[in-house]
Amino acid sequence: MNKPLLEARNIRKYFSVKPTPFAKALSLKAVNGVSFRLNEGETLGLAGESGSGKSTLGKLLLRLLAPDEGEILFRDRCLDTLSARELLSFRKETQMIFQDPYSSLNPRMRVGDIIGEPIKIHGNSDSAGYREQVNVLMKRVGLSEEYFSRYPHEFSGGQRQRIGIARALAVSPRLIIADEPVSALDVSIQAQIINLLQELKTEYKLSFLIIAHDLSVLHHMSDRIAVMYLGAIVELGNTEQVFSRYLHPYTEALLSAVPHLEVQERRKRVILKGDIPSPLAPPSGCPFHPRCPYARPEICAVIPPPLEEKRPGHLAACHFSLKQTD
Amino acid sequence: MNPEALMANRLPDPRFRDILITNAHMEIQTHVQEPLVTKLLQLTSLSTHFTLPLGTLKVVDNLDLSLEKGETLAIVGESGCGKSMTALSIMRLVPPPGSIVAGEILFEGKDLRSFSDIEMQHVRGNKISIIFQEPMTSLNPVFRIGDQIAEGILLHRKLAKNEAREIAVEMLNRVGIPSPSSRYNDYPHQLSGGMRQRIMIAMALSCEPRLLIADEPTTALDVTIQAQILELIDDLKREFGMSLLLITHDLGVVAERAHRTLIMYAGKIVESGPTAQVLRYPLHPYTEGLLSSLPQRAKPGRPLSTIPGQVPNLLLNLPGCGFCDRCPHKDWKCSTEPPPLREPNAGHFVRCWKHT
Repeated sequence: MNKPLLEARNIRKYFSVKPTPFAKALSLKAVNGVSFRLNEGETLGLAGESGSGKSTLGKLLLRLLAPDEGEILFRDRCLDTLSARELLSFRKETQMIFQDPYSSLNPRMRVGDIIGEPIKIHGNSDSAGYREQVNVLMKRVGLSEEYFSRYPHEFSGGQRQRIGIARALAVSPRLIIADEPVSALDVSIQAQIINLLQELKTEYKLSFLIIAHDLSVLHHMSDRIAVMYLGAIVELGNTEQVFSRYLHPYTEALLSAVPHLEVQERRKRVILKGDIPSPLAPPSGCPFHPRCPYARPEICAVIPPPLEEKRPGHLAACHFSLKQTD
Repeated sequence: MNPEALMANRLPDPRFRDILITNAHMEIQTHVQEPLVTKLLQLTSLSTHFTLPLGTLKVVDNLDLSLEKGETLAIVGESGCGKSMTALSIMRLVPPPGSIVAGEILFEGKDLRSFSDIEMQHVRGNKISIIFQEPMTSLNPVFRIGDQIAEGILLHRKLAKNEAREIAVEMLNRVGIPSPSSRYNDYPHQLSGGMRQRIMIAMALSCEPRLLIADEPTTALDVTIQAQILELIDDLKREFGMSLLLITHDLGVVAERAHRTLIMYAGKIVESGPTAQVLRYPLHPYTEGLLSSLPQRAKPGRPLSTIPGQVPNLLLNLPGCGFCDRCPHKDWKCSTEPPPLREPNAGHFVRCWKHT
């Protein structure tokens, strides 16, 4: 199972932004040197606040955007070198599930056609077999076959998310990138969708990259977790390591900000001051140092900490990480 | 017999119930001096209905609720359960075709339903303020944020413009906006989501209201910002001696902030009581289901327990318990007769046939 399926090597994506119409263009470092590896059959969770570059990273990995620097390897082949035909078969093996089940389905298409469209695009569309395939998919995600000719507006948020999942499964992909798959849903529906994704993962032997800001969802679903801050990974490790033996102060703050169910439990709480800095003017040195409760300006504001392996398989980008926790 | 009278029969004696609730809160609310005359808000069998071509939608159905001075009460439920409509009913801002059809909204002893529109304007933003979920859409994009805060102050108090400006700057400072006097001139688009929510709070608190209604105040924000904003609301609540009605779907937020919790389902209260009791020893199958479907309560990788099915279509006006189709303990009685609200433990109410 430890064969790498997808690998990112130091990828960067900068956008050129003009704050006002006549200002000089600034470069916004959305993804700033990200490297990781996703093994076959594995679920990698990507955590971070809005503006940390999680969604841009997801788009880069699907090649909906091309990176400015660095390379992305799928089954040990660099995406840059793929021909148009090879790119099409790459797209067949990678699919995406979107956050908003309202805007990600075409309101003028019938549900059956939405689910079946990928099958048509990637060949294999003799009409009898096609209808049969769509029916199997609909049944698998918990939708009745009778819904084939209905339109998206007739469905609730949870059902729409099921339609989106069926569409992603239609071409039997190897890798699914799910960008906030449950954050728009109610708690009781959220649990249904999480269970469905988990079942499909084992059934279809899928690999998942799950982007979410809800850490309890990531804790439940992921094998490994990467925490992003201002376009870079600040901590990467298996779920247990990141949640109970975290190394980066940002991870600590994220975890302690999650409201706890146990009433009146006294625990150490780190409340971060201020907002995530603008990626147009990232702080010098360690990007987290202005908000970090442990920062030492003489070091943290000057030298950017590299992402290093601090324990076997557990990486963090912090000058002091081991001293705090051990 | 009319339905209100029926409901009155099923409820325990209201005076008796009030004393129980107050006693349950003596430990938490030590700063309240006169516990028996502290009732700030009381809703009695409030019903808000929407009249649609297809039928009547009972979005809030016979709801009773009381809120003490200085107390935080949380209303929890899924989308469509009527929690936001309860808030809008208190403000008398229910959008058409909806209207409040029955019940009393007693605020400081006076029924807000009897107020004229002008009288109501003196209450809104002055004595009762509301913060909405979307800080992006609740601010006017073409006015400076400071002026938007000052507008409310000028409306409710007889002050000169520069005095209102001073108060607005002071409020910006109070909610933790750095360099408030220069930020006064910013437009909403120049601020982040968390900052905009701070502006909304400054606006809501500028007239020192007695009651703050926060409708999903942190749902659109990141967890780290959510922690900041909730902490800020709590601090200001203590400082101003306000009561807080917190509407949310996040049980974690409730556990940390609310004295008492109400669980709503399909327009009705299904369970209410002191937060610790409701979350630790839930009585209603819906509350149990909600709590056990949270990923925090499950082993990583194992299937989560779920509540099967979906919220019922309120247009159907089903007899019996609204939750019965999804309930694991369903009995023949559940689908024919609506269960009454009962009080198995002091201060802890539940609407379920299992507990009668």
